[in-house]
Amino acid sequence: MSAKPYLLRKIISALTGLFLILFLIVHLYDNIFLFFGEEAFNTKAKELLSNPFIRVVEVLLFLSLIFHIGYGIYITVKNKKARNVPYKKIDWQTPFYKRMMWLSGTVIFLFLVIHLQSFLVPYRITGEADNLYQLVVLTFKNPFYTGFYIIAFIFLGFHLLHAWESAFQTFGFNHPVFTPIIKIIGWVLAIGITVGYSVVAIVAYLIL
Amino acid sequence: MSEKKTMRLTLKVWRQNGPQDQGRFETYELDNVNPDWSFLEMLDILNMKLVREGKEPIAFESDCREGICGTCGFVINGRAHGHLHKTTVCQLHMRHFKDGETIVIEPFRATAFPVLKDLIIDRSAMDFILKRGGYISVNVGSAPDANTIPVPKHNSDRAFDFATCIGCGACIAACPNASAALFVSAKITHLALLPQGHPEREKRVDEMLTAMEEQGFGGCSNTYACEVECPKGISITGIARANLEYWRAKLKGN
Amino acid sequence: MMEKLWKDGRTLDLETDSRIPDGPVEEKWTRYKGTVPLVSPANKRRFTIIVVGSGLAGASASATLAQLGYNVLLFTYHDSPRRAHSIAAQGGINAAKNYQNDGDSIWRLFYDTMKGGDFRAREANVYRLAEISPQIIDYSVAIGVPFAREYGGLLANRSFGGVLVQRTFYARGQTGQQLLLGAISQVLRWWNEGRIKIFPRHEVLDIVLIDGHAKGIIARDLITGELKRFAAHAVVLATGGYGNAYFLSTNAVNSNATAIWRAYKRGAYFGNPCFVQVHPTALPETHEYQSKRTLMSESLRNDGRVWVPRKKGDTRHPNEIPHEERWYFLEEWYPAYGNLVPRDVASRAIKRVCDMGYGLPPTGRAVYLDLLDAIKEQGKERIDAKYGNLFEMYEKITGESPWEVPMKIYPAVHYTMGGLWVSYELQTSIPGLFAIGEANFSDHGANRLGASALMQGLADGYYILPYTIGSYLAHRLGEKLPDTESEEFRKTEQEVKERIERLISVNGKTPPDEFHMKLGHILWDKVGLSRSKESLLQALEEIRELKKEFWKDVKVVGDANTINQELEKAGRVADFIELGELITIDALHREESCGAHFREEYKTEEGEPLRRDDEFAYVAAWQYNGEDNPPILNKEPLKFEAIKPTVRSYK
Repeated sequence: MSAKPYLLRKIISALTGLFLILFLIVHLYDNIFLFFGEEAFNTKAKELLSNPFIRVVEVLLFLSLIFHIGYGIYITVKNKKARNVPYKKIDWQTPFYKRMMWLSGTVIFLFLVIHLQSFLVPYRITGEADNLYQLVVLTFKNPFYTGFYIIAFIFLGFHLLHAWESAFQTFGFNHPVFTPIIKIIGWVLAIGITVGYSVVAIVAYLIL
Repeated sequence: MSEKKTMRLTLKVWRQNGPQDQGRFETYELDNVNPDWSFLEMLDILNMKLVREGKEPIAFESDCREGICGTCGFVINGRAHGHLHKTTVCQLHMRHFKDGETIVIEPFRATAFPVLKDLIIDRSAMDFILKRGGYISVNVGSAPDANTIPVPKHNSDRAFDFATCIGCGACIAACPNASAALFVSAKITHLALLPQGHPEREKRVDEMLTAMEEQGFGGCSNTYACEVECPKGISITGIARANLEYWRAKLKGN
Repeated sequence: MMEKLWKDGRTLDLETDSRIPDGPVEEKWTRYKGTVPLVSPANKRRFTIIVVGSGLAGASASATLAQLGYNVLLFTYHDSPRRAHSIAAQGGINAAKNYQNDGDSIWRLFYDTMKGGDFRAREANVYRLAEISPQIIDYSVAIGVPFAREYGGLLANRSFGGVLVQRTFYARGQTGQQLLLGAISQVLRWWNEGRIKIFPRHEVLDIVLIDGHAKGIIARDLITGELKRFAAHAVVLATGGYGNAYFLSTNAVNSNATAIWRAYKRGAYFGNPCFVQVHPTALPETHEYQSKRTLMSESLRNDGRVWVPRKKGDTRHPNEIPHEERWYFLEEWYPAYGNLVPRDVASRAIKRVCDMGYGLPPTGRAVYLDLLDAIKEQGKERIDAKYGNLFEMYEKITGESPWEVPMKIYPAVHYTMGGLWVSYELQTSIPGLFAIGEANFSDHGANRLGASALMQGLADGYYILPYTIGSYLAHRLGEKLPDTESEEFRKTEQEVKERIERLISVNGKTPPDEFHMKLGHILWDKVGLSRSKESLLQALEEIRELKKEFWKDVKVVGDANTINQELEKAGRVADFIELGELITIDALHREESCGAHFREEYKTEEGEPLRRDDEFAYVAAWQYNGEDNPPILNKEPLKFEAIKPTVRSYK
């Protein structure tokens, strides 16, 4: 294979990642319907399913996910290969989460498998579950599930914290005024997503 | 200069006979270390001691010993060029270490930097990148008067900030991915900021980034560890600038 | 004893030996260029040229020769050509651009350089250098060297020692780095095009002569230890100066004289070896194992004031000593140039006040270089822009901040005006062997002005050698590349091998570094800033003793078939010892004071150097005469047609 600049790998990661962030925000918005009661939530779910636009986006989403994961693995393997002999003693000058995207990514992937198995498979594929609201609330009643859910979102938060800022750098955007703002948005985003999803889970576990 | 207390140090130094050798740490005790010695002078003295004992001295490289040639460099206690900010090993002085301290010394590690002996590594991969575009193709004899090319002071100063790279390899050593992005982008940005560099900018960025890949360096994942260890304080904004150059070149169809 | 130290040789002929063109000095280079035989582009491709050294001179020459079409083999002991010690030059590069409209001209640069060199340089060469200087700036800018600029976008200038105009172009305190990286970028370009082959980590250990012509080299691969033979139609030495003979100098720790010394021993004349420049503003020595002296750029003297307390042994903090109790001795002694007197003058003045007992405690060998007044007057920002990196470097090494405390400085060996004798065509006395940059003796006379070394290295490499080498090669069209299996190559390689074996087989007790330090002490104390017949004779005796000692007691650990830095050092030190002897003999024979060469016996009543033009207006071109025979002293008379040597005064 002829060598291609790493930016071509990186940009796929960045673009798919940004798309996935968009999805996370929309998904969180949908999750909030959980607070409005069983009917509202289930209606919303049905509504989304019947929206053709959403179905197209859904395909894009899965493609993004596959590319994001695929390239994530590819990039990680390539980067590990670039140092065949590890340091015996090293004091990295960068926060752990920036170095551990592969780890947070793996945890998120595991979560995703469980998450899809819990909701998408019974609701959409096998059709075992018809009442999504019931399914969700019931699932979150399991403390282990909710616990892992929150942990996964903490990992996701760290993943996002680096990802958001990094994407702009990859696009070539680093500006003395705007980059600090982008960083702040990154923090808001990371905390917002982690807290937002976790609150829904906790509410489902404790109250609903 | 006031009277300074001397120090006693334990050094754990990476010894490796050749590229094929496994390598191992060896421990040396050094007494009466003067805080005014530079780190390399400390190793010189240790080496003289070793030679007198008939032992092979520690092979390490250095030349100018004033922080500009980029020859020296290894990892001290897990930090490329040691813990002092914006400093090469040759400018690091023993006054920044504590009496009784154990210091671990390891070569810069990257697949593209094979160890030749002890702390000496082969960094020719960096030149193989530069040769693919780190220049402006103008012949001797065909330059216009220097002042016919005005360059805004701000751009010229910034170009200098990137041109100041000494090519020591610390950015690569400090990068979790052993990426040469900071090194490569420093040259790309230096030349991109000057009007003289514009005619070849698209080709340059593409060729150099491809060469970086071919030499076996990792990709940049924007951890910015490089910036912290760069003895010349080269900024990662240069990486963004080089990225921009690359996308610009791609959009223009190169 | 004196008679036996050297043997008188011949007087060199200015036309046939020095090859100085006819005509008035302003027209010589133009005439030369117009009449020099050229090699056609097709024929250039059939010639191979070896360039040794990748500093400013070597890199610029390699790139330009490759541009012309020659095949270039570039050798450097570094791991990358980028690292040559030109990179450490700080202050700037001179050029007669007169961008500042302050009265500069080619003539003035020419005159300043001649006067700066105390009228011991060849007029024709110096004029040519001044004439070429503006083109260097043009070209360097075109290839992306980021020189300092004014807000209007055009180039900025500053002043340097020994001149009254602002003609120095600079890139903060890293001008050498930027110019070298520029020249190297062109080397890389032609390497990419396949016209240059680079041999990093190769140390050249001998020159191969066939029928008296330089036809190749023997180099040691510093990784494998293998000796290799390389053939060429011409060999160019650009290996820099020999200041490291003094052990402590501002040179890089590996800078060495081996290639030029081998060339000398193969018959190349050595010009004015005793002209060694001591730079006034280096950091003082602080401990006995110091490996080098770090330079603080001369540009600091633009704004810095040199002083010592008026009271001897004053132990007060410098900032507590009021102005009237400070002795600004340079400003007092040299009111016209003040702190910006040439290097030799400043160095001697500093030594003089220290010898008088005014030096700063604890060693007594340091004076203040004070920028605090300038910081107050101009503001921190402007000073930072000019000298920021120098201040940083000072603080790193000494642990003291020049923003708060005056710097301490003391002179250190810096540059060698002497070097291989070359003709106007930069050819040594061995046909086919050229020497450029600091490695040759040519342009700086007895003292080099600040910011002129970069100018000379690049002038030689970019603009002079590419022409002059053609005049040698034009007569050799169709000549095949010499066979490296020939008798001459085998024999030379054998000699190199035996020498290496000899170094290893001594198997004594003392590391080569220690011999180097001892040599350094002898040279610095007795063949340094000031010399006398007595000190020189003593030095000679001690050096000869050291040489014997070396070959009896040197210890080279390890073997020759691998990376062996001790072996590298031992070889270089052995050559430095021999060279040290020649430096001393040259200093002994030159019974006058001029530029950097100050003989105690020859000074004015005020203590200024006393030149003796009637007897010593010549270049000493030393010729090797066998291991046990004294060297032969050839003389190239210096003819002053354009200018008249005067008493060099900076008062």
